[in-house]
Amino acid sequence: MIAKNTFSAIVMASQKTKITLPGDPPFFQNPNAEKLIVFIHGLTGDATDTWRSDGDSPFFWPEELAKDAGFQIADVLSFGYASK
Amino acid sequence: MNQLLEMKPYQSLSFIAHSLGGLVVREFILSRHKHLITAVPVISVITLGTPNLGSGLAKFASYFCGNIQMDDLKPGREGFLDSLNERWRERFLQPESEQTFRFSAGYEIAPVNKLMGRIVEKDSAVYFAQQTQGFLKDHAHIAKPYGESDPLFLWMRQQLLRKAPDPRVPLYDDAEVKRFEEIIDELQNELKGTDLEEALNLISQGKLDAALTLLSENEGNEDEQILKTAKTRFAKAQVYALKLDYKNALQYFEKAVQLAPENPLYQNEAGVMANTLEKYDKAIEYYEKALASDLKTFGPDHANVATYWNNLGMAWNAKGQHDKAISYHEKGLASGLQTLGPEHPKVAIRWNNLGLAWKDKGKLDKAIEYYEKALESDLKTFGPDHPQVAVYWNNLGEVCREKGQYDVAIEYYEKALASDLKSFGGSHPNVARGWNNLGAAWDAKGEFDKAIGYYEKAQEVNLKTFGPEHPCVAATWNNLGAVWHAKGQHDQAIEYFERTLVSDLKTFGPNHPNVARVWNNLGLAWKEKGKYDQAIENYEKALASDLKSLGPEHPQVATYWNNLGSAWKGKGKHDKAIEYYEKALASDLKTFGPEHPNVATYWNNLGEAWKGKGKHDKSIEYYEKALASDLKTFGPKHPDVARDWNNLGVAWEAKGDYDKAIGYFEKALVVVKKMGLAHRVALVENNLAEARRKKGGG
Repeated sequence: MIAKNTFSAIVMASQKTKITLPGDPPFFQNPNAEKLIVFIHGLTGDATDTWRSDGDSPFFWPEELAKDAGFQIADVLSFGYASK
Repeated sequence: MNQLLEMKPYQSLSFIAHSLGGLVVREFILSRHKHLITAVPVISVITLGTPNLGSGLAKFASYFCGNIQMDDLKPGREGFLDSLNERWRERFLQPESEQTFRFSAGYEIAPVNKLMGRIVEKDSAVYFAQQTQGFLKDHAHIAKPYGESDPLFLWMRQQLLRKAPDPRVPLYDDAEVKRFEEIIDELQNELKGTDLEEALNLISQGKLDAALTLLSENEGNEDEQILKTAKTRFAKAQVYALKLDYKNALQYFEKAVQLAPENPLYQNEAGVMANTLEKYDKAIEYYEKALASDLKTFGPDHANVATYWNNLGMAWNAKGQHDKAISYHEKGLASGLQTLGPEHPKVAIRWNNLGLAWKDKGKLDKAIEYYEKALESDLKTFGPDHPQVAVYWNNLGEVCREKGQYDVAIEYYEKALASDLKSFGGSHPNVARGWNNLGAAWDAKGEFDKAIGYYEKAQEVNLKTFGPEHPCVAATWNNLGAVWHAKGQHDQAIEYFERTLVSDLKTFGPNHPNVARVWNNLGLAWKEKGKYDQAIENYEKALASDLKSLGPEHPQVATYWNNLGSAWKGKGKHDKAIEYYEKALASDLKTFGPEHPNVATYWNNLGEAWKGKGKHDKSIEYYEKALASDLKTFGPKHPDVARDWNNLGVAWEAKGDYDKAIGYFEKALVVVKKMGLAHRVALVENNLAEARRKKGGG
């Protein structure tokens, strides 16, 4: 009987960290991300306010999308550029 | 971007862009994407309120007034947008080009305010996109879902993950979007400057439940502030209408009317909602009140009055009272012609509605005349690539199909489809309707396999846009069942009809004309299989359902009486058959008069039943009535006329007068051959050969 080599899988703890990029656009990462989702705002907008809902409990969906169970292999960047 | 791509080995890129950001993304894909350090494919592009067309840019510019970037965008020879769109077409819209990403576009339905309206119109927002979806939000809020249950968030998730449509994302048809416009406009009139103004803000964010809560909290006490309470209830009704919750909308409109019985606006809205819910008597009652009130205030030449006349026409037509409908539509039209002029889109709609009433009355030439006027007018106003023009082409197709002019109908349907494909792309309910109707025309021509091909195309689009449980999906299952039925494959037909039944029962409940229609079709299929008891069972269900929903004098009920008659005839019970046929005949004679295809069909069937009893003179008498009626309605070139001649031939043959029989068969044969009705030609040829043989033998 031939003994087989076994490979032990490394399980990474799922953790979201916000890293800072030049110009500081919001960037939400998942470990082992294969997809990159990029938000692009319009005229007079910016990387945060364009995508954040009004009211007392604002919903910032680039962040929410990265937390969503369907997007655990995606990073989400809200790109900012000079538009004003 | 390159910095990020160096950092992680991404396999794919997706973009979500708001407003002008959508153009930035398209420019990136065209000219920058190839410069990325790794060749990461773009798999999704989702734009929200992006202006893709030059028209409407002026409005966009004035919204962001003073912004220098706008100058580059203005349409013109060197304009950025022209060049971008041209390069986009060259790259992705050529027959041989391949677009590997899914392009979805969301468009705003709510205005930013009364003055500006919507910043980017739907046509411009959805141009180039494969998937489109409207949201009840204004230009800024179409980028801001308020939470995980916001349809905007659900839709984006679904687009990015390429999942099936989420039933929580409401699909709006063009009529609903148009209606939303009116609703929001009326709400602005009612609420602006009052302490309920905050409700308007909530609506422009798509927060309808929050708007309802706010209104409920301010509903007040009807004893003290009757008019304010009425206003709040009216606003609540409108918000329910935006939620597509029509039952609650009607309830609140009625509450508003009760408190402010002098307000014609409230009455008309209550009527529109009752009409939407198919409560036509109620609708007519409200319209009449609104009409009386505004006639008194403004006299007959006022836009409101014309609107009520039009609405009354629609309601009476739905009730099957076509003469009444026509007289109201004529009034509405005359008024529109005077106040708006002959080329106003509203007047085109009134031509169309008048045409519809004539069509339902069975006067198809008159219907064509009016439909053509509507078409001509909107072709002038909008050009050929406008959804409303497609609607009129489609309606002309419908009426030509009914007239038996299948080739002309196909031509119209193809024009409508080509226009809709240009306006909406491949995945849109109107496009599905186009495929479906082409299927119906080929079906009527007897080209069943071609019909099946078209129906299946329609179903593919339907399933993509609606998901599996939707009336449109059910309707196409039903049509597929009908073709298989016509092909003589009754088991297959029954399978499709059963599928339709399950879906429609879930959507509508048992007392709805659509459900009755499926029961009827099941009855037809079982009858063809020779299972008359099962047929009768299904027909009786159809009849009971429509008696409840439409009342005893509706033409549809007459159809089911007729079909019950046919099933009893199949069982050999000719007296019972005659009894039912006569009920059907009496009802439709009352509704339509003698010159109507249904009436002719019932005469024909009475002829058949008397033939079954061996009374050939009586049967000839009925066949001749049917023939005279059909000749008047259609002229000689129509399948029903061929049927009448054929049946007269059969009757004279039974009486032993072979020369007369041969004469009739020959007439019928000319028609079915001329019309290319392959499935009928064989039958008539067979009858003719048999008569000739008998003549030779005798």
